[in-house]
Amino acid sequence: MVVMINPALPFTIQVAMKTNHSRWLILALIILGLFLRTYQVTSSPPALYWEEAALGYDAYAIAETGRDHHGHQLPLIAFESFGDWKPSLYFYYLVLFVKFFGLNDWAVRISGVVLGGLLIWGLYYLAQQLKFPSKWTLFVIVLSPWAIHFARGAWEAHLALVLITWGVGLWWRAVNSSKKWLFVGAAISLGLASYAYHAARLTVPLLVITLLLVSLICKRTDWLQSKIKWKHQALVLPFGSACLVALLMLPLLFGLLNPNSSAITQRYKETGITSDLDIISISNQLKADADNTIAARIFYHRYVMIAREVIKNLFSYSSLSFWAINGDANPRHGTGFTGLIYHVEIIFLVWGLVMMMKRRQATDWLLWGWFMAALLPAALAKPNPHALRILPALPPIILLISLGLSSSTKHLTTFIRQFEKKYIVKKNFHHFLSQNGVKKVICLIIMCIYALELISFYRYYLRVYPTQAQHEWQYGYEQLVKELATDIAQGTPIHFARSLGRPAMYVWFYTQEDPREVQARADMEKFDQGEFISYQNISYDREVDVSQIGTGEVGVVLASKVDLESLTNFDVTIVNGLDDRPIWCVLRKTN
Amino acid sequence: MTGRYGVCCARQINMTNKRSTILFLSLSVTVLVIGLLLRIYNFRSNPATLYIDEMAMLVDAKSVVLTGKDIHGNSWLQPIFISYGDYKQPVYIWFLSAAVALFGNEQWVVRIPSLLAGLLTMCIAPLIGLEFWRWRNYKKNFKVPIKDWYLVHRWLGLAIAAVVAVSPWSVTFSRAGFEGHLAQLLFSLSIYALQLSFRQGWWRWMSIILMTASAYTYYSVRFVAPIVVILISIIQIWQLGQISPARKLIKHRIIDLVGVIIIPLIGFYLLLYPQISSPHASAADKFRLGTDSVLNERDEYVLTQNIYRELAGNTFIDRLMFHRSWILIRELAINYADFLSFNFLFLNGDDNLRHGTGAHGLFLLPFLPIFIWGSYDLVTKNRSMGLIVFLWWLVALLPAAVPNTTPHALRSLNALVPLSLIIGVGLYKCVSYIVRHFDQFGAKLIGFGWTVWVIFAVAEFSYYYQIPYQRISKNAWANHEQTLIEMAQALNISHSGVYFWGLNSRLYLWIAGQPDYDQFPLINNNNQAYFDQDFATKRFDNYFINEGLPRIPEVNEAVLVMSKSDWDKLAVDDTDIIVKQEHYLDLENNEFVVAAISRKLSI
Repeated sequence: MVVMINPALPFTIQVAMKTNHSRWLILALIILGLFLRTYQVTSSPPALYWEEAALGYDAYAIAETGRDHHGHQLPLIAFESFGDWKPSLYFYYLVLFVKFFGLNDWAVRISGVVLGGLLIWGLYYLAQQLKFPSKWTLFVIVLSPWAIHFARGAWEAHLALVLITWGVGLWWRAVNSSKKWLFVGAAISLGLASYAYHAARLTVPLLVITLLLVSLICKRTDWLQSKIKWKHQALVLPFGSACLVALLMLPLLFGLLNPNSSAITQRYKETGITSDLDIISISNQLKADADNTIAARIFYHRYVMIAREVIKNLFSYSSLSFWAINGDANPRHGTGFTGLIYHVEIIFLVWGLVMMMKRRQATDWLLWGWFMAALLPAALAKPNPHALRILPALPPIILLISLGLSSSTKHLTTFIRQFEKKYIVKKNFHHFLSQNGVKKVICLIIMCIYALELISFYRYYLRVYPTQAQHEWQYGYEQLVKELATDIAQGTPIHFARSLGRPAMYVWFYTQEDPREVQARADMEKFDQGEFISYQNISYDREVDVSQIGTGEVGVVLASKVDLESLTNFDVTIVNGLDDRPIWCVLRKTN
Repeated sequence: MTGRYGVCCARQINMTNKRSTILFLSLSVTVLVIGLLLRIYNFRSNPATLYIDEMAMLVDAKSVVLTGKDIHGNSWLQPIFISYGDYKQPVYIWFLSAAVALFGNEQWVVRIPSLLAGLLTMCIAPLIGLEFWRWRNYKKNFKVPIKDWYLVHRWLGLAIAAVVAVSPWSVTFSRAGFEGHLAQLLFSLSIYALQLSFRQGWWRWMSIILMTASAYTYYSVRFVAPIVVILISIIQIWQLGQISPARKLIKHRIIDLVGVIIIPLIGFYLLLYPQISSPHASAADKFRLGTDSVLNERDEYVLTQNIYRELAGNTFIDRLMFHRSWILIRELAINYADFLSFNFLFLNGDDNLRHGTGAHGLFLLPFLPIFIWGSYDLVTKNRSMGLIVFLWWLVALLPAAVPNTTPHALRSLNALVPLSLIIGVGLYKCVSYIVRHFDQFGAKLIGFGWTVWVIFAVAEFSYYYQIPYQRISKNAWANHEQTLIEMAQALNISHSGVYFWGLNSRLYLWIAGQPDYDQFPLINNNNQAYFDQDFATKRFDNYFINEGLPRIPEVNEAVLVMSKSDWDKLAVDDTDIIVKQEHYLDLENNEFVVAAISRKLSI
């Protein structure tokens, strides 16, 4: 339906003006989205988390030497890092930024911002392919607190999310258009996603199966009626694409089957629920309480208990608190002040859900399958709920909210017009506004509500959150390393406490240590799993005993672990936090 | 095909069908029997012992039956029972007094009013659902007489009854003496009476009386009931306007508003006046509002507000955005959200083992997809009913969301019926769908699979409740006190003093709650109450409770009850004490000793 902007103007000009309005709106939203993700990106979150530091430094090592800091050449599946075997793709992605911007906080963080921009674009594209309201989708993703937070850091899950979003969008475009070569792009994008994040190794296969089934159902008339078998494009191409994804994931499968390799399994061993012995002991206890009857052995079998645990983890994602009030309990995964979505979006999410159930389109099954594929890996791990692990579920949520927004504005517009007709126009009053006018007023009200939500969230995010969460983001390492720069360069023996975790990585990152030196010393130094606990003149101890620090040596301890007043024969330098409270003490023994 | 009064029964089982009637009766009997069995099997011994509140009510009921007065010597006809300082509502105690008079003063009798409440809820919830079902097309449906309407839609009623029958929420509270459970029955009855009042106005007054009785049973009803009643009444007024356009005139609207809402509510609060004006009312309010809740953490909100504002820069926007009211609302919303979680509703329920098994939700897991189906149906096709049922549910949660202990299966019991209605509607729609598509393999498979799942879930729940739960929950049901008192009384053959250490300071309740105790009210020989200002006592008849440190008293004979570690420290062997009998009890990893002692006679 064409809306008459100015009846005096020719029709073609009016259509062009409307299109221009849309383009300006889209551009404005994209600029806003990039601004929200970029502004003060290195100040909030307040510092690099140790994973970010590790990503940055290993990317630097790859850029300089083609090997990670352990000396492994161009790892394909995973980087050893701290012994946690991080999926490899983000390191290679980050190489571009480190090469261009150098090894610093900005380079690491801007990589996330770029992904955030690609996600905005990708979701808009996806909404168009799946016939969801694309402008509302753009509006929601630009302002989404969930998306904003993870675009302001270097998160492997975020890279996986972007690749998955583009993969699905390209796949669906290929299904509905003549550009069948897009299947290849979709397959590559989805295949690469499995190299970006642990959970994606399960999400991607499940999602591909869903895509395959849904696209076959949608195009069943095509492949049923086609008489020439090799022209079953609707059948062969999706299958071929799925096979390409499987081919790309083959190295992962080989890694899984290799009993000597921890590259695939290490992470699951650390976080998976089947590694949790508590479930087994509860099962045994219940069977014992019931005298080990046959019924007890059936009801409380460990597989039943594990299934129950998985369901419990899945149900943790039904929490309204998690979605709309205080989000993930982990301060690195959210502010704790807002949920993953804004408060008002719960209404639109539910509305969108009801609308989707009413309209019963085949493509809606894609969203259901996508959502479950994203949740299942999280349900198999601990803890739950987890805002990072279910990041791949962001697009279905955003699409549902946009559907709810679009549908609710239409319903409200109709309702108001009917109300006017019944109670105002009936009495010979005229309509106050045209239908389009009513819709615009409703959209304006919604935008005002969103503006209030955004201001509240963003204000907290920039001003309060950095101070409240500084310890979770290891704030203080950068300042500390700068303070120790001279001592490090001069080779002064340093006893460095590992109280806040992974200090070696921060030292290398902020001194831009030559990776060749680190690689050369990989066989000489001490390790705790994959983490260096000594390097040249620095020993990274679990705790530092102040009395063991010799003259001319330096000790680095947490301020909370020492009594500053008793350190009379030390030259003490304090590194303060954002709240001006001491975090670190650098102790240089004078005599 | 349509039946009488234009009621469409094309897709429903023909009411003249004999097989359908037999099937319906068989299923009804099955549902009733299952509901009955789940509630009464092992009723006397599971849960094994009485919790302090149950014991307190039993003691007051015994006193009322024997003397017409409560344990403090006050008349039985009072709006608030002091009890042990928790100021109980009176109605449950009155019902319990009747039960004690009929069945004797065994401890299991405490749970009889709750059992009856559970069984009656199975009957009343379907009736409420069937009345709400008229709202789908009120203009047509309101003319249908009750009997015909219930006959045509009997399957819906059965579905709702089945949901309540197997609900762990209803089953566990039917087996425990909690006032909230009786209150939700009385409130449900009042809602049913309110629905009947649409055709016969006098039912409205019955509704008010029942609502008042409910408010006199459980404290939170006075906040929930008026809101739900107002909502239903507004919809009824609107429906009156649909049926009779003359009622849409402003004059009639005002008359309806006053007659249907305002006057009955005034009546409700007038009937509540004796309780509001009771001399114990302020103490009762203080006790209840003293619970840890979002309302009494104001200092913390102010502190948080100030921190946020200072960090943000303390501009006008910051003072607005980070106001303490938002922080309070947020905390309330977090508590609210706990009640809406699927884990609470369908998987684990309440952690408190008195309120549930801790391993089952308020409803069984197979009812989750049915709940979703029912919610969808109510939102899209039966909006009037959906509106009131969802609002009833949410309003019922409000008083439960204020305290910080959330989610709480007891405090949210007023939501039992609305949730059962949602699930019951879903079950009815689901079964109707399967019956309509029964020729399709998929429908048969889903129907069969779901039925097997439900049977498995019911079997597992009942098995867990009777066996592991009974052992795991002993501590939660004050098993220590009961077991130790029984043991002490068994050793106290010569009726000497019994000395307790390390137990509840209100142990006199368990003593007075024993079947053979009949000295009521609880006053001593000087005609004074045993209790101090905290309603505890150190001396009760010949019982001595937590008096001083554990020691050998200066008497010839006594029974001592204390922890094993205290007993070992006494080094009884080195004294002139003879230990006549000594029993060690390991009560859930708490070791106690119950010993009968006497002094050696000096020559």
